[in-house]
Amino acid sequence: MTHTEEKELLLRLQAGEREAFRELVLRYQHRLYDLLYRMLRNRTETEDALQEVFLQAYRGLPRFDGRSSLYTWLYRIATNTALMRLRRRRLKTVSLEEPPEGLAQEVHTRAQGGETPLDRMLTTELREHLDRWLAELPPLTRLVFLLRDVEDIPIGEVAAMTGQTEWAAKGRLKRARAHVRNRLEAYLKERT
Amino acid sequence: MGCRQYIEQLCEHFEEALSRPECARLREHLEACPECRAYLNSLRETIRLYRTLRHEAPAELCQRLLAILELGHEDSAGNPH
Ligand SMILES: [Zn+2]
Repeated sequence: MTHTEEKELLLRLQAGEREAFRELVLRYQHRLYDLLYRMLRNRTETEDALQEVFLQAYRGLPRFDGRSSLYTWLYRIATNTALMRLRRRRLKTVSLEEPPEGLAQEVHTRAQGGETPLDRMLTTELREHLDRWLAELPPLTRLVFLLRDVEDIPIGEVAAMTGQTEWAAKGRLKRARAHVRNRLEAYLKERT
Repeated sequence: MGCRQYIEQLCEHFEEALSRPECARLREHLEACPECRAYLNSLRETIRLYRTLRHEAPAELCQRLLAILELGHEDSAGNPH
């Protein structure tokens, strides 16, 4: 979304236009779902969390001052929601992480069109590995990688969103990149 | 500087290493070192996979979201009018 488009959407949102909020949901639901799922690794909790994010955004809109961009604000809500849920889970010391999804289960992937069942199986398997390697990292490190490298958000904004210095965010990003790259490399070597 | 430090720099700057002025020596090294080039390529491939193999919100969740927010549920989730 361009800067002007975003400004326009924000004006409509703050005027209380319902259609504008609908646009916001449709525009960000998949990206936020992916981010939350990769943080929480549990479908039911991800769905609850996504609802919570949009509800918070909906309620918070009248107070949003527009000093940060709309998407930064939305991602910050999602980020806080994910971290808070992980913290709460640690306190309860129960793991809600689901076992890898069964192959029979319906999978929602953007990279599925025109593939054979074998392709799809490999895709599902590889995606599960990717998620698991990421989950081996501490939550904040994982988050920096997802925001910077998957969502393509500039590192300065990522640092601001997650409440850390740019220097600290860069350090986490570096570690995350090396970790997931090494895991993939080892996995591919093992298979050949 | 040895490959290890260059690889650290690659992990820190990734694609920006190809344009940042302070990474000039890294670029020179990449031209000469096939191992570090391979490392950059595998880093690229890793990130590409994370960007492609994503999870999508189920359609019924979208319906539910719009319903909760009372935004109407008659034609959500990309169904055209
Ligand atoms: Zn080298």
